Amino acid sequence: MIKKKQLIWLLCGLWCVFVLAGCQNKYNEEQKAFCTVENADGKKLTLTQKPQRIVVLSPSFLEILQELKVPLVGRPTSKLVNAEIAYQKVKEVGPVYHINTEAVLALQPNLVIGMQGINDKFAPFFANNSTPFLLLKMKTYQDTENAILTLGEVTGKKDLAVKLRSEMQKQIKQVQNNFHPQASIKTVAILHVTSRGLQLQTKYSIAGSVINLLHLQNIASQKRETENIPYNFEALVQSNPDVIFITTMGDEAKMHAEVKHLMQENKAWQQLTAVQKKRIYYLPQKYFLLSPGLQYPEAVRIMAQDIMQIAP
Amino acid sequence: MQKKYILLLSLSGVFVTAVLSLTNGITPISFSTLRDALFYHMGQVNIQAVVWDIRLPRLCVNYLVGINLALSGAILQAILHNPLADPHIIGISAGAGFAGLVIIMVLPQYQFLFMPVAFLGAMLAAFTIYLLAWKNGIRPLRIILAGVAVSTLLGAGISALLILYSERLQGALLWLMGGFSLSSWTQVKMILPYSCLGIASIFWLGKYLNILQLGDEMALSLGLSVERARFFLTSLAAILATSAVAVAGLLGFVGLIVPHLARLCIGNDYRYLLPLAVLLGASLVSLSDTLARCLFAPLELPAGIFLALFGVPFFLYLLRKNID
Repeated sequence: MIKKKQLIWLLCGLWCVFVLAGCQNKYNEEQKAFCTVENADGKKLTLTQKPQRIVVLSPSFLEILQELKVPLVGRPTSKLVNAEIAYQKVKEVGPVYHINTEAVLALQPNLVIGMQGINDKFAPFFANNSTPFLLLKMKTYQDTENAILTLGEVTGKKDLAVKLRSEMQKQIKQVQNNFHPQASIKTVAILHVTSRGLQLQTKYSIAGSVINLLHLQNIASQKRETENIPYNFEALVQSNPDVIFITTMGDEAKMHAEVKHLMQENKAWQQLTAVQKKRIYYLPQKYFLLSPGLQYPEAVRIMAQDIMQIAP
Repeated sequence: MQKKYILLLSLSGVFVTAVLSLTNGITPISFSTLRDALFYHMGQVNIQAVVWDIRLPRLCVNYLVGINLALSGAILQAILHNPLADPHIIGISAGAGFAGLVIIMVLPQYQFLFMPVAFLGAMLAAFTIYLLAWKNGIRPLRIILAGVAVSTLLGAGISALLILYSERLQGALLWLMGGFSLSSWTQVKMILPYSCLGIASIFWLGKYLNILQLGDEMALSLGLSVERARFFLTSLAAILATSAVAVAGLLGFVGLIVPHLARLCIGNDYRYLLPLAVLLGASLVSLSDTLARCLFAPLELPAGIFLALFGVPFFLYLLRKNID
């Protein structure tokens, strides 16, 4: 018959065995991890093996993954451009702002890649379903570079990703070297205008990031990481930027006409030097609405050319 | 006599808020500089432009919106015998909000149609409410219940639009909160006719609203055609609220708290309450907008936020107070 003291020792021993077995498993997992990357929300994501079934929730990643020659099992419903045609036959999981989570899970992915700011809400859902979820941001140029490297790492194509990044850097450097604006052009405002109000885009937006790359000053300075800020019109008049870029949503031609009409109708706009000297440029939605991704050099080129064509 | 002093004091309050609004902003303007720019067209060109092209039209829109919403709220509270009646609660604002959002989010290339569409949306909502509430005549409670129902339905529509077009959320939110960014003389011209109608009606509306306050039976016995009066006054309140919402967005609490503020100061006699509500509405909206554009400059918050900041404590006070 086991005495009470012996029973306690036996239980303690068993407990130690279980704990050590668990630690050993964790140690083995870390040793065996394929990669560990950082999500856009700062959390670490560890993949134990190279993912074979990848679903992406934003079309902004498609071109990069195509260049990295990564096969996908799911993509968002969107109009594919040339570089993404390879994924035409990949199963669709819904529009980017209304992803169907059932469709995603039905594909049994071992990695889901989402865009911060749009797909954040799915993080707890995929965590509950033990599906690795990688959240990336791709607004600024730095974000895009980081996203390329991270995608390369999680797909086992790190070298190719580094090569892609270098190529992009080279193209942007070329634009920067050839960028010689008039000396008087120093300040820029990037507006999102409707008749309802005025918003300025900060350095955390695509156009704001390009202005940074061109070493010009964006009048909208903001410490908090936010893309747009509601701006006081009087402050815009006081800042009197040398150049104004305008971003729009919806039918581009009609929106441009609408903005022109607004500026003519409200006499206050005529106080701005940029309006008087017709230094107003409309940024194409193709590059400046969603992330341009690998086409970032083209976005930089567009804004640089607009500024350089300004006569003295 | 005391009531006249209160009205004079409120009028001076309007003048004070005007000076505050015109002298404060990113560009500091002293009182003397303001006077020269306004009355003598003297001073630096940029200061004159700031005064005449930015601040003055904005101040005018503030006042006209405040007048329209305050009058609308005062009229609705009288005819519906409900101290919580205002254009928001009875669905007029939701109608303008839904219609306006369709333009902002679904058809942004048709911005030039924004005001007429918002106006139409509000009038359709008001008409629907009246139709739903009609059953051998109109009872105030039915109007309120129909208004709440229509408001809830349109609110669901607004939520659906915000979700379906979430990438265009920010521009819509600024309007939904209510604000005066980019106010211009064009908007003054749009809302002015309605405000003139509202102000003109003050001089004869007062006595009818006083009678309606006594209840339907008493009003009938005094020779007032209650149904006709109620229909006309509801239409007037709807038109006033619609014009304000189409210009400034869904500004809350003005129609609710201003009539009560006026009531606290001057009593229930609508012959004095309406003029006071007009003056207080103008001052309150102007003050809120001045704070909204100056407090965090160059960032500009929607004026609706500050109206809510003033309105909620007062609303809670009303809830605690025994309101007859």
